[in-house]
Amino acid sequence: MKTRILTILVTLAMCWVQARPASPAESFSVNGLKVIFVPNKANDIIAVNMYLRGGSATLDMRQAGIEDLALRVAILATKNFPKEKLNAELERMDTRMFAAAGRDFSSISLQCVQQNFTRSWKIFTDVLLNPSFDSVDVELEREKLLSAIRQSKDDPDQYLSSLAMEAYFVDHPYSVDPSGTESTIRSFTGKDLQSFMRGRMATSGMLLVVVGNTTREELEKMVNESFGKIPQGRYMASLPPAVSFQTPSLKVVRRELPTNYITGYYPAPQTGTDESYAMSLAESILQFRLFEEVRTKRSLSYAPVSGLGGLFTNYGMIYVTAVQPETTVTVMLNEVKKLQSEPVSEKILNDQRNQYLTRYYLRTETNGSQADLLARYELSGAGYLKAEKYLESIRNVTPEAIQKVCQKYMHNLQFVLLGNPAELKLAPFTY
Amino acid sequence: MHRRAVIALITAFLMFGGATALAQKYQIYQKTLSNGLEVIVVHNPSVPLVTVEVDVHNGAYTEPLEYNGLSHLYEHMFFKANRAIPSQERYLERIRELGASWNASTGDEQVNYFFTIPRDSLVPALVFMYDAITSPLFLQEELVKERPVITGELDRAESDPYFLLDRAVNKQVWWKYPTRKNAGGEREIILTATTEKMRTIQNRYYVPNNAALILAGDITPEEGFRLAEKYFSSWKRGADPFITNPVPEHPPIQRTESIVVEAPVNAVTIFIEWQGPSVSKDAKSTYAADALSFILGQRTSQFYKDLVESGLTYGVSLNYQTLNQKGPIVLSAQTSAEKFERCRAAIMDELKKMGDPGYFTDEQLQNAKTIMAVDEQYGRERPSQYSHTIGFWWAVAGLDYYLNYVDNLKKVTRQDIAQYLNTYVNGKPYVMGVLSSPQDRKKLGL
Repeated sequence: MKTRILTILVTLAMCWVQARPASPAESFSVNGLKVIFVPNKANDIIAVNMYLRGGSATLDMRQAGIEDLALRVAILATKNFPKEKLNAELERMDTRMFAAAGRDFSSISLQCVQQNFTRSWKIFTDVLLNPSFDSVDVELEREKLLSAIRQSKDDPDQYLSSLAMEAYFVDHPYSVDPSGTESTIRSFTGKDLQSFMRGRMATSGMLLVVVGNTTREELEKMVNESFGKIPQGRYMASLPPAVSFQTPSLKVVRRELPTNYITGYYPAPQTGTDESYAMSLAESILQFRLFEEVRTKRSLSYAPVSGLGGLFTNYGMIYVTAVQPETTVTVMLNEVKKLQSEPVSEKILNDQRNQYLTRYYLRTETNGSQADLLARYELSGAGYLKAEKYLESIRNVTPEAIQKVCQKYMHNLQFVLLGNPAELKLAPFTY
Repeated sequence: MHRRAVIALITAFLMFGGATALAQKYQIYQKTLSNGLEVIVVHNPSVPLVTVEVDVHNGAYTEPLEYNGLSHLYEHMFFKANRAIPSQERYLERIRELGASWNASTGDEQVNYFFTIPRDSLVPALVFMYDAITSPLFLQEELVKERPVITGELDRAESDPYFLLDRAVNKQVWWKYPTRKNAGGEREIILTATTEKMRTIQNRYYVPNNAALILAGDITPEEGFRLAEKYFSSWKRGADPFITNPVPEHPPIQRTESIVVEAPVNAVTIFIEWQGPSVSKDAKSTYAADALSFILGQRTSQFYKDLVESGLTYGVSLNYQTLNQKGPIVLSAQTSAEKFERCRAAIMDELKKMGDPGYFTDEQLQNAKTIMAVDEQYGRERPSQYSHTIGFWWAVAGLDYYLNYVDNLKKVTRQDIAQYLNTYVNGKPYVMGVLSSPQDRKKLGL
């Protein structure tokens, strides 16, 4: 298996998997800002992630992309750190800052080594509280984003994913693409961005997660100095509604490609529920069986995949690239049906749990990934403490529970095919 | 080497061989068994996992046309029947029983296989790896079944316009022996592969004196060496494959030329490639190449300001990939059809200025070295990547190069960078590939 497929698998799976903090996580609040902290003295790296609750799911279509553009520009220059100074300082320390806009939340994250933490924190907080939004920076980032939006169709996997999201989340808060559209990105002024960013700096809509080699006392002091006097606001968290389809569907988008890119989406349980753990194992068992039946036994594809999406209102998916789409999807759906009709054996379940243990440790290696996973549980409403009980929850899953979630959720798949098949019958995709 | 690749690759590393103290500091230990197998143990008990990895000096660089893609096919056949496991189905079942996360990859100068397993599965995993690496059966039925899987992988690659650009440029840069830089391989060769050819590869390259066993994670060097001795010492030594089958040297690019690759894309990509240094012949230039890439990657650099902040490109990079059979030096930039001509001229202007004494500051050179050192710490955060990183360096440059990388990069001077540019870039022939949509191409004048 090559890296790209692995990347797809890992990306899908990582979204919802559990944190394994180096030490137990603790939390405290400063001026309404919730802070989750995990001390880790095993290395000198400190990960500081500031999450902005809500994401594009809270925006309307006309605002699509505003957060992405605002955050990208914000990390370029601030009142106290003009661009040249900011870049020089970050390079001198090799401190890194990233901006990311998503459907459920957005973030600005910082990675630095312990000896540069104090100075890096000053830049990080100035980015959040005093971004410059220089007009030259706004225009440069706007052009980059516009190009990225246009290029999103160039890569078949990226395009397929975007088509599938569009087909699945119809008239839903998740239909607002966090990257925006060419039209919306063109419409935002520097003042729009500044005003938007200022509005996001209210502690009730923020979550700070820090993992690394520092102390709670030091951190609490720094947080208080930086965020102790900003507005609290009245952010009210709410989960986007569940998605339900009464019929299956297939959308075909024609493109001359050497193979067909196919994916089918179905609903998945909310994070932190008992069903979510059963679904995680079901998805993993399905992945194994798809590999065995589609690739090993029948040589129908290099890349059969089963995964979970990673949104708070979640979805599951199957994915494949194949030159014989009907035959391949028929085999894949037969495996779905098998999971629904026959409970898995205790041996298979035990083996699958073992693989989960391995993946569990692999996915929580860095301080940044631990911070991100704790945040996902916290922001979803499940609570970060549930992230720490993930393995226990996985151990409690039974064959019956797996069968039940498959029966409940794996229906009415919404398929999208990107490619150019000669003839295509709808029936094999109808489940 | 690509900057981020460097970050990932140097990560764990650290001084070994001539710098034993540093090797111990970073918990990397090495021993060679009597059959020639190099055993490398990385002790990092932060999680109760061990990665068992085997790396082999194999890949595209060992492939004449009639074998092109067969290192890759061999890699796939590794996961099928062997002396102890009767079929691929049973093989996969065993992987699941071991609780393993697994994968493999084939590159220009390396093939690797690895299982990451819970510590308790270490011994059975070593036995499993030994059987797989030493006794594949290459059943004809399984070989035939694997062909469409590989072509399916190639179909995916060929659906990516950037793969098409890279392949087209590579064919011109490595014009005499293009197959030796094409790890994916040729379809016709893969579709007609035989068991005999697989056996030839096995007998030639899959010998312990052409391989490394890396054990990384929750394992001590004493335990690692003891288990390696117990389970791998019966692997029989073979002839040195590179004496019986020497790798021909790539001749220089004959002349500078441009090629255009058309695909349904929404930007114009410029991809300029030169032949760079071979690590065993000019290691000093490989360090200079990486230092230069770190300088140019800084946002305060003239390179970034002239080409990105000017609005001429959406992004640009100049990187060298460390390899032993001439690594490629690649300048890559993305722009629009409207700005293409100005962008190309600006890139050429930038290349001319790059050797000037004032092109970068002392501070930027120092920053490059600092970034390297801190990146090394960032990289060490991911123990599961250690074995792959070490395996890559072992394969292309040798462990000593890898362990002394950071120190040697710190010694790079302005003169070293100038010499690197003069030897490999300035005035040297190159191939420029341009990826464009058919509509945009009309505007480019190419």
